Amino acid sequence: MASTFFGDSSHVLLTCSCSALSPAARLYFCRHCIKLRCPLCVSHEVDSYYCPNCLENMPSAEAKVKKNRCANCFDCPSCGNTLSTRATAVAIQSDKGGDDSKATQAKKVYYLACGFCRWSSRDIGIEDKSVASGAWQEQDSPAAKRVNTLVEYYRQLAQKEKMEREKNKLTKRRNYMHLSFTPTRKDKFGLSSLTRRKSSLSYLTASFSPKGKEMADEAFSLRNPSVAVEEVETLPEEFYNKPLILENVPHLSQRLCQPDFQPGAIGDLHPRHKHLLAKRSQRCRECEHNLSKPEFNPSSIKFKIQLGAVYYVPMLRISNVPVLRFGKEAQVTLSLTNPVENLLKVTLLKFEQDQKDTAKDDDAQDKENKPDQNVDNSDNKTEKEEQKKMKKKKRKMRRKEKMK
Amino acid sequence: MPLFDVIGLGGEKHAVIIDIGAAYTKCGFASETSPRHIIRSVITHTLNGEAETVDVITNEQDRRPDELYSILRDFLHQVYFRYLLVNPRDRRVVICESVLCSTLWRNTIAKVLFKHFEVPSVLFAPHHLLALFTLGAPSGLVLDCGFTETVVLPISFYNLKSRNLKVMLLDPWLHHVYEGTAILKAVRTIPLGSRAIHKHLEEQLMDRSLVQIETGIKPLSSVMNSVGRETLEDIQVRTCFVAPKFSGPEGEQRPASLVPKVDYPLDGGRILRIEGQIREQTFDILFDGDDEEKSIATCLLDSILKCPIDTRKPLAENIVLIGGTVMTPGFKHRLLQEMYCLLQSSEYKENLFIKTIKMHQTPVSANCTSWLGGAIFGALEVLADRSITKERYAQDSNIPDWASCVVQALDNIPILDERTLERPVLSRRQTSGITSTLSNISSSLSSRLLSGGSRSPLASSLLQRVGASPSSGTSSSIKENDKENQKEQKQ
Repeated sequence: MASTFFGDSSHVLLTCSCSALSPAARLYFCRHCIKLRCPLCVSHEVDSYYCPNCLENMPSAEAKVKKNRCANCFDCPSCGNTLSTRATAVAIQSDKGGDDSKATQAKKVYYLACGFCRWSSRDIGIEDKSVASGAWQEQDSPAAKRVNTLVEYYRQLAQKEKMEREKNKLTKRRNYMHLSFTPTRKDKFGLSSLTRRKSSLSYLTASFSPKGKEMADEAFSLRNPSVAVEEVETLPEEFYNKPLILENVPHLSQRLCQPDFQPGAIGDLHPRHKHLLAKRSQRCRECEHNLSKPEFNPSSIKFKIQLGAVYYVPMLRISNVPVLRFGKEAQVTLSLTNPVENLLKVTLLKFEQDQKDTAKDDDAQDKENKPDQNVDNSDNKTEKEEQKKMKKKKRKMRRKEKMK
Repeated sequence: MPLFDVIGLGGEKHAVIIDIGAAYTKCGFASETSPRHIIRSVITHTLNGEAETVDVITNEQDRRPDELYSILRDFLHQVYFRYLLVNPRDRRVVICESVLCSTLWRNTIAKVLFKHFEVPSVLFAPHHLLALFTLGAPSGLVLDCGFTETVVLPISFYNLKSRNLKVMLLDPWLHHVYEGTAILKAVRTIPLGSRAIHKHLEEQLMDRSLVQIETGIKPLSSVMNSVGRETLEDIQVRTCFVAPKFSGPEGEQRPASLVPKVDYPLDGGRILRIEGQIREQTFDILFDGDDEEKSIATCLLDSILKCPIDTRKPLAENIVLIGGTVMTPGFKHRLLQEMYCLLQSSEYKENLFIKTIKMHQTPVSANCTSWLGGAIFGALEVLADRSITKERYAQDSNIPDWASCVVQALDNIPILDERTLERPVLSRRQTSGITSTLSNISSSLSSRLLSGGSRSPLASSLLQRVGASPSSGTSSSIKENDKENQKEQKQ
């Protein structure tokens, strides 16, 4: 019933302005362009971030810093379910005072456990924490340092390139300008580059002259480029002399959940912060108005703006279908509902086999002919939609008839 | 949260780096050390309540362009709004692509990104070059062993002695940035990758594996007709490994394997018994050679052979392995063994005089290496200059590929032909006078590419990349070349 009401059935399809067919419930109606828009021809935007587990909203700046992950919730590294924090009491021995007998004290500690696959943070040797949240750290990527050096190195190169390019521009225009800009470097780049540039052949000779070599050496060099080695790790013996325990080898999907490490043993799987989800808003590509904008609160399912086609475009339903027989006329009852308060003019067009393309042109013409008021216009528009629908409807009917 | 983090929040929007592989897609942001997500390159459509899963990358000939467009659109939508959670309009994009990816695919993905997602700019960067970025090494022989195929591409700084680094950096539209330039004629491909392993594994399992069900033990082939791709992948990753080369006397039967067998649970309480021999020898198909005696090791050596003689030694001493299949335990060791063995064989002994072979260790795992290269490059300021911007795309929706890059950048590229080696290296300005020479070179280059690659089935994709047919390919590259030169003359 609900689907009939909201027009999410595939029996009646509307033509979007991008000429794709979709059910009315999937379409937006741009009030400013007076056109139907389908999800494919609107532009989507990320509106707000929230954690799907704790339903807590996260400002986009914070989400960026936290790499789109929730601060409090964790995923099970084994099955991907949400982990729960368990509290337990452990006895710790405290030796207060000098020769007192050792008193045992109960202390509350927390660990993470998966309610689905029974994985727990104790399995992999993560120490219990004394606070429920906030103490769980994710490991740093082992490659981070190396990558940072590399980025730094290439940045310098890029910087140099930019500098030189700008200088080139200057030297072309005003020959001596660059001197004033780079007084400290003029020995290095200024004069020599000027003279060098005088002949294009200097590229050739640059390497042979001592000066050219100097130039080449000046290029920033990476202090520790990767060194290729002749010795590579051989296959561990254990493949031959130990039986493989399948339970200890993680699945590929489990490994790929942690792109930094991609661990090869179950014991190296660490919990990860839960990934956030985003609420999206939709925008018309032509007029840039919002077609749909959700409310900020993650647990709210309401919208600030929601220009759904069902609120503006009359709803067409097939209310009664008699037994259809080939070659015999039958009466099909269609019902039309007007969702807006204004009057609505509906024209039903005759279905013609090859009208599919011409119909579109007609529509376009109609629109041009009637630069009326906004409301009027929208009514005309909807009217046309109706016509199209009718055509489709009838076509469908005919097909059915033929089938019988 | 440190203070500078808070201050830095507003401004920088790092580029989005996407590496769409045949099996897995890596996506994340520039200047990070690892991709945010590694997801399967599939898209699930729901049609009339039935879910249908399609691979994003298949042989493009099977697919109509609009179909490819909608698949890529839906897939990237998923990447942006389900995984990366950013607005596509705000961020530049770096696409890590294979040098062999077809023009149709590139154009389609550019269309999706520019028309549908309205991204500000896109950079297409070849895998192999990006891999070198993660090492800081100027040259290397990059082997990418992925899902469908293995591609070997040498990248060399040879012949650049005469130029300062910045000359390379300045060249716009040149994908082959920094020190490295690809020696394209030496590209070698072979359709050996995880897919070939899966196929072989399935045959083996069907052939002789047994399944334990409640009622007793039966051969696998009597229980099921085929093994699913995910199961095969799982078996490959979790149980198989690359054994050292078997060095028994020729013609003698290989002794029974010492590797312990594994009981692998299939669904429905069935237990598949995987023999030690299967675990040990499945990967052998990558190294044993096909009907033409080609394996990934011969690919590497052939590629070296195709390179100018001066570059051979540095290339052999700078081998970089990337791609997911490479991560199997024992892979590197076996590859080295095979290469040393081949160097002694009659085929290479006469031609190739290489004493040592050295391999690099990439800073991150091999499947993310080229992604990381993209992330490093995406963090640089030069990204803006090298990308194709929205405005440019609006004017001309053709995406320049390496074929045109090579022609444009001939003055920088180590010339790919012995004949042209004798020619002095010319500066950019001088090239304007030698249009005819350049077009000759470009045509010979294209034809070389065509003839060189025709051994493998991938030649078809090469063909597609260069143009519909060899003749049209050459003529179009000549045209582009002319245009380029005209521009230069105007300047």
